[in-house]
Amino acid sequence: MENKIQEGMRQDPAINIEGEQDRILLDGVQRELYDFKDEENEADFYRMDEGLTEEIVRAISEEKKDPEWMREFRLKSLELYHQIEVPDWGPPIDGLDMNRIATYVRSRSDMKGSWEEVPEDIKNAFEKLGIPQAERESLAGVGAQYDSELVYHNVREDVAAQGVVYSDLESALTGEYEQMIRDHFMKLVPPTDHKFAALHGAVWSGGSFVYVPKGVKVEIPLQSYFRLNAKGAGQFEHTLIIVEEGADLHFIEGCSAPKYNVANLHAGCVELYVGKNARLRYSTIENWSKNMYNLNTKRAIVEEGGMIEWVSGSFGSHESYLYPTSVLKGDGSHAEFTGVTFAGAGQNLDTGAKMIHIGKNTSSFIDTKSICKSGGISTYRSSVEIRKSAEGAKASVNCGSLMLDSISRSDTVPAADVRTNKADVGHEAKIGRISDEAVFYLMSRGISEAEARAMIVSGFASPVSKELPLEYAAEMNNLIKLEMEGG
Amino acid sequence: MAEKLIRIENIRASVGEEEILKDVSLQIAPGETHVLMGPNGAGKSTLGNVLMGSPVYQVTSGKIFFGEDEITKESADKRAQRGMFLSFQNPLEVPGLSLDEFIRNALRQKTGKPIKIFQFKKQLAEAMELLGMDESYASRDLNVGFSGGEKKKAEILQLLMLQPEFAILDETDSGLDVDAVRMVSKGIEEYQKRQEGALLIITHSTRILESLKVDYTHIIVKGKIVKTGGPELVDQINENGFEAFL
Amino acid sequence: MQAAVNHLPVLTWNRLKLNRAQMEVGDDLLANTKKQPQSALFEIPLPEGISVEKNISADALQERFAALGIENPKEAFVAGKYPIYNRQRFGTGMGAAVDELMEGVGADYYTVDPTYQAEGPIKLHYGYGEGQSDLNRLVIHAKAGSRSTFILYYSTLPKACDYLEECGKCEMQQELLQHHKQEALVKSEEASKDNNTAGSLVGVQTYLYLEEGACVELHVVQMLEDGAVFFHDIGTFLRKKAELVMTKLDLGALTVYEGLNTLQIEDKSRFEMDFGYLGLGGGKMDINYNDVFCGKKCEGRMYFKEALLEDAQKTFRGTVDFRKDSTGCKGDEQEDVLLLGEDVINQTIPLILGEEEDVEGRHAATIGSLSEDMLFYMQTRGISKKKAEELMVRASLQSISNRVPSESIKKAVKNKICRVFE
Repeated sequence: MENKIQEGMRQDPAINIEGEQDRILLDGVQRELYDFKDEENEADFYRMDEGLTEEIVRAISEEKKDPEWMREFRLKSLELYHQIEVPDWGPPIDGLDMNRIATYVRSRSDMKGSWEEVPEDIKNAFEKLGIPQAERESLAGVGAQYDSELVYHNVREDVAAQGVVYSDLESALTGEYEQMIRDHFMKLVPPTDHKFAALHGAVWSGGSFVYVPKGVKVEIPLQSYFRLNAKGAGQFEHTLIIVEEGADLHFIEGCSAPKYNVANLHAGCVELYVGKNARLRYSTIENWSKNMYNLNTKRAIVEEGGMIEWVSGSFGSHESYLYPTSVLKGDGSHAEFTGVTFAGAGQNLDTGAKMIHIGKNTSSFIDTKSICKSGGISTYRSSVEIRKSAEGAKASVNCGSLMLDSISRSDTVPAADVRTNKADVGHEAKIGRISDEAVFYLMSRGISEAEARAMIVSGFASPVSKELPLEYAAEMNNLIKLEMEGG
Repeated sequence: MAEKLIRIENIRASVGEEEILKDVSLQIAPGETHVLMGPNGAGKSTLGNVLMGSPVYQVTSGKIFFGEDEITKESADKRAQRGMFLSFQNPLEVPGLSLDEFIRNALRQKTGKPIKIFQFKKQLAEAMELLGMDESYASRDLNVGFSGGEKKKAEILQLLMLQPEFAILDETDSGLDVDAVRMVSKGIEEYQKRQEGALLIITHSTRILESLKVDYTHIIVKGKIVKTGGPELVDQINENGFEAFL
Repeated sequence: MQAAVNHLPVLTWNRLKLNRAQMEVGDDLLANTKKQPQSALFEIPLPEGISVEKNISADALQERFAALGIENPKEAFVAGKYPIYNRQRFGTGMGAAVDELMEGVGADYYTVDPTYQAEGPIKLHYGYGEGQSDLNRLVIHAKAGSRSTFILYYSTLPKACDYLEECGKCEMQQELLQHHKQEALVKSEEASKDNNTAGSLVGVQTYLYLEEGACVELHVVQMLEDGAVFFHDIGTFLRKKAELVMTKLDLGALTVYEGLNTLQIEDKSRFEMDFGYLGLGGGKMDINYNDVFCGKKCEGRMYFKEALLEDAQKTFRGTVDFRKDSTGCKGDEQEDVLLLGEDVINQTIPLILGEEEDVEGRHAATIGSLSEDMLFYMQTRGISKKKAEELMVRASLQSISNRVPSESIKKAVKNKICRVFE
């Protein structure tokens, strides 16, 4: 896998932009690739009433045939949701009216284990996004969620034979892994955490369960793709991954939705348990449409000697609150976060990361790039906490912001809280613009100004694209080009 | 043969997973000058740093003795207080701490006694004159805004003031112009003369050695000393490079 | 009373408790301080070209600011929705709560004539008796093209009987003594007699208004007694090509609040700040410094050096704020914190806010114990870890005190550090 990525990177699409083929790519990228919407035939879809009441939560629970404890859990979470205040610090979410969000929409057809059986319209949607091809080419397993439920789930036989479980969360909830799920579900992100964690606890639906047993190294990535097609709906998928001692996994998630002129809501939750000396890489390319409120919570807890790597590209949504958190519990555990955020017209993206050092000799590394353009607002927000117990901790934060015009806004809000003197924390932030000299240099080699700027922005974001598998890196660069052209 | 001042016995040292010194042994008697040469990455500087107790390197086996005492696990300040010294390739900058204040503090730590200020100032002025350093450097912040040459001179100034019994000079001549090399080498000569100080000179060029008395030359390649000889080895390297030893 | 001060210009997670500070001042202490406003100022006669008007009321101050074409709004600070600071014109770093606290306290209004071009510093020594409290306001209005240097020195005077002896060692106090020998003794004695059991509070609000091309150097050194509460709330306003160079040293008092808001309102102004803090056992420091760029081609630099010992706590908020049309501006901020005590708490939140593309902004921070490289370098010269730490603290604070044009203050800083490490 490693070799393949490196080999691929020699042909960085950003560098090859002059080539004829890439030019076609540049010109050919259309927002419609993600913005297409298939009118849902109402008869084929089951849609819960809009709004959020106890009746609705009970109905979802009923619909999903929850075990008793889960129903209780949902109802408690709902109570919390009503009690907890809306955050007073991030992008304003006044435009989000829960009474107008349908929390549950699903196709009347069941989840399929074979692509051919997936209903035609849904299949088309995913085909357009290239999901099953990707599976055939380079993935160990794929899950595809359409609105509130998974429509397709498949894992390669050789991977399954190693004991790796990759399924939807609901079937795992009633099967042999019930206890494991009960022990881990919303333990890392409790519904008390914040208002939208509580919301998630009440109405969660869909998502994936991955279990990698001790010592198993999954050589090729697993992938989940989330598509929210319904208008005025919410998606609340829950991803629970348990990587046991010495195991190794790369998990990729992609998200997209067509654009409507009413608000959609995504309040997913990702909980990652990384065992002793285990390693998990979690990559996300998020391209929600620009009417989406993306209030997502992702958290990992890492045991002794384990490692979590986050790779995150945030391009879509109207507003985002997204700060993947790494809890470095075990001694010598390590976390890395590499992220890029591109806020274009009408977007207010508040993204970053949190690192919590608890174990001794833990280390964390944050490297982020924020880009804003055409009136977009991007905020980098982070916190690095070094607890008193975390002797020998090392943390480094590096965040860069690139502003492409002066109608946009870029803020950097990084916090550090250090409570032991046996720690070493470094931080560096920079804000600036594309240098005229660099643009001139590229133009002097015959590249148009627009392409020169696109190339420089791709270069700026390359710490993230370098960390992604080739197809995803290419997708990311396409998204950047798209954003550069738009507005 | 004189009692040995420094004995290195079968030292192995590494950074992380990578082993850099692979079984190095070396002995240096009081007043002797040893030259350690070798191509880039051979482990020259590592040996100097390991001798002084740098925390960057882990000694995985072997022993280091200063006189009768084993010092393999001692911290660098203890070694310095015994009479060891290491000049840095890239001395660190300390804004707010003047060069003379730094040396005075180091001397006080070594002797445990208050420094006689008049005598100190006189000695310092003499040493600075010898090195061709402007006296204003004494009150300037340690290494801050010093040129490469001035930094190296400031290191040799510390060597002369602290009067160690054994000094390791790590690439003291690198990046210096002809005049600066001459001044630095004058300072080293003075150290050799003045107190019979033992020296380990780590270098990859031979310019600094021209005016110095050399007793032994060691060639280190890939973490091992592959050849030990007299001063004539230096000339040999000068003419033919390290080819013959690779 | 409790007052919310040092508001972070853009809010973040409340859980981190960084969005503001609650300044606590005992009601008794505050009442006593306000009841008996007493200036502890010892000053030598001002040179020609610098004048002072005493005890200007808050309302009169407002009028003066208005006449200069700047507002000094009293409205409460509202954070959370940006751009929030836009409403604050001649604001201060700690915020409106300090205005309320300072109600009824008159300001000393210093004016520097355009012709004044002196190198030598104007020394204002605020010397307090043990347990003495004081609130004071100070305005420095530097007229166009003037060039001046001020030193504000806040210290607790030694007991009267020690005072003469102590003064013999101190050039600045010697100078003062020539003018105030009798006065100083009386003040110091009386202040000590009037010992306030509720502790002591020294609060200062300083406005700096620099007209076009004015240059001001301002050095503020605080070495109050160990138990004191000190706050310093600063607002600065820089017109075209104005230059403000500041140093700030907090080496005394137990609890310190520091707030600064610099408005680089017009083109090509320059602001430089070097800040030093030594936090001892029980010490608490809360900082909120903002450099706001409005003009074009302005430069700003704020460097902070802090050393925390034992269980000292420090919260640092520092903001480089590029407003719309602040093209060609450069803002730089650096914080270096040495953590030496086992039980220290260090919080740092450096903000860069950007509303303009054509700017260069940077922030860097290093937080931790002595670096391994530096420690090894020191050790190879025979210096122990403990001594190396002392040297580094001394070095970082002296690198700031060395800029203060007063030998006696430099010496006082040195002595203070020696006492700490004894």
